[in-house]
Amino acid sequence: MTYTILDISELNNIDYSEIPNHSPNTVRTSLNGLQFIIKYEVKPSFITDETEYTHSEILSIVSGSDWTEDIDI
Amino acid sequence: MYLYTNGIFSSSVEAVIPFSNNYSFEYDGVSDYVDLGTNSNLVFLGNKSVSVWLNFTDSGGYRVALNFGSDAYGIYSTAGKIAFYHKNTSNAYKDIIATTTTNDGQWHHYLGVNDGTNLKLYIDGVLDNSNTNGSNGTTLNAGARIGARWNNLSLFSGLIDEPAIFNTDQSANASAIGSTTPTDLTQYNPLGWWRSENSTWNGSVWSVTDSGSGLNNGTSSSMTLSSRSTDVPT
Repeated sequence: MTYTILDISELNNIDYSEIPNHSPNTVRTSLNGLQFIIKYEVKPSFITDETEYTHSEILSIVSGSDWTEDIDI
Repeated sequence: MYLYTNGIFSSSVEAVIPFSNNYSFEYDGVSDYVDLGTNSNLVFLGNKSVSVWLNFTDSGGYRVALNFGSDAYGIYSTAGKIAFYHKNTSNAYKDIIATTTTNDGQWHHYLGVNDGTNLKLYIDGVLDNSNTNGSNGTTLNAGARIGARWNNLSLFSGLIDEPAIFNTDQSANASAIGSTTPTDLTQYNPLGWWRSENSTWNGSVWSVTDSGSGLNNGTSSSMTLSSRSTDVPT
């Protein structure tokens, strides 16, 4: 599986039939709402020169404070 | 059983499908989870037990494998250990963290029990830790998830198999349920039991059947056909 981070402005513009996320409601968004993550096994046509990440690389990214909530419960 | 119809005896045999466990689900820790809906029957007062088989290597903090309600109760991993949590009658968050580190890439069974007074955590059928943080609980509801918190964050990275919940204290059955390999939980009357075995792929999402009460079927989010794995506890 390959992962890419996109700008939130693309959230409603990409073709979800090409990726397993299927809809804007199932993508992982950054805590500030400015970016989102899609994943795919076959590179979608709308992905051109964006940086692609492996699973371990994206796990490291989402572990950061931009993507993971500071639990206060 | 013998039937007598129009002067003819006939017999029938009830088919009993033997328990088998050939599949688990793999959660990527990025966007994969199963949404179990917001049915209030999953968030209840009184004794409760949570049973699940997990295989993980993640060493990060607060990765939620199972969540019911608004953090009403569930299972999470933190720093390579598993914890069982709940909110008490004052809606204060209480948990019990295992003493044993288990992020070894091997299958382990976890049973969390809240008996109203104590929180207990069994690993592979053996009591690992307990404290007096138990209570009658809360009914604060915000939805239930496998692989994530109710808000679809704090996602779990690893394999999850045979998650189940009970509205009873299952301490006496900890060894029977978790000391060897997954077993048929029907005899323990689970309130919810979500079997990878009984899940179906419709080309877009997994439908995960509740083999417990049957009231809380789940739907996968962001998962793929290959999310169902043949890596299971053996």
